[in-house]
Amino acid sequence: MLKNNIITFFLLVFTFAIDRLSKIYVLGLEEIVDGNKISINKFLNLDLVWNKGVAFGILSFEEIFWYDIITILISAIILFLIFLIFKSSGFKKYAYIAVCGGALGNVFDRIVYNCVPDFIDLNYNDFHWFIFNVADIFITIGIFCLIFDEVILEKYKNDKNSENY
Amino acid sequence: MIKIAKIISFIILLISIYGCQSIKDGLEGNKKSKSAEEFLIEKKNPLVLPPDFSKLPTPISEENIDNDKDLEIEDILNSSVSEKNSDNKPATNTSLEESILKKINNN
Repeated sequence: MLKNNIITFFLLVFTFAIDRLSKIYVLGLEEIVDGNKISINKFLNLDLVWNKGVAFGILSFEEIFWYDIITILISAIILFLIFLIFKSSGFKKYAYIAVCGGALGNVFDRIVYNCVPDFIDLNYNDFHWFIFNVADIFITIGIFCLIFDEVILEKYKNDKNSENY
Repeated sequence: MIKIAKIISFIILLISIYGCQSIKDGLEGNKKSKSAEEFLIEKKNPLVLPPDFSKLPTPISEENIDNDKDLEIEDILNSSVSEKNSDNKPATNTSLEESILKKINNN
């Protein structure tokens, strides 16, 4: 049990550290901080965008209010995810760890920088996807894994159980 | 209940990821990215020698051309001077002699 918890904690710190290191590396690049793009290949650019997560507020006071509300909500979600990590097992557990580690990375930036630095710009034939960061990759993959588990694996398990009865 | 909480929390997380900022940029038309692309430097292929480059004739060097021109001009000048010396001098001498002889005869 203790060993399992240590592994869980290590994986959580690992996902958070990968995200933080990537952001430290990108924010250390002068070219990108000056507002220029770095073209890695035909489909991938590095372009720094500071994502506040709120832009529909007309007054700046409203923006700050909603920003704080969303930050508190995400912090509450992280606590809920930690609860789910310890409650679940196997494939689901790793998916929750990925989501929680990514969310921790983004909340850290929200508190320290007051916005989240996004820098990965995927594009094809002038069509640009949303600019994202490593934490977003963890969250998205984690959520997709959970949906896959809920829709396909759970159904498969239920079918197997009904066959046994 | 937990299932609903999970769905809501995932929706909030996804919204926070892709954020309203990105949607706003999309609606406004992301001018930054378009203008920035104008200055992206496209990589060009390295320079390559044309095929059968070694078979092409070698160009004549400028020094040789200049020397040839100088020689030609010198030849022309020399030839013109020599022609003058050879043709004009005896003619003038004979004409002078004739004119002097005519004047003497007249006197």
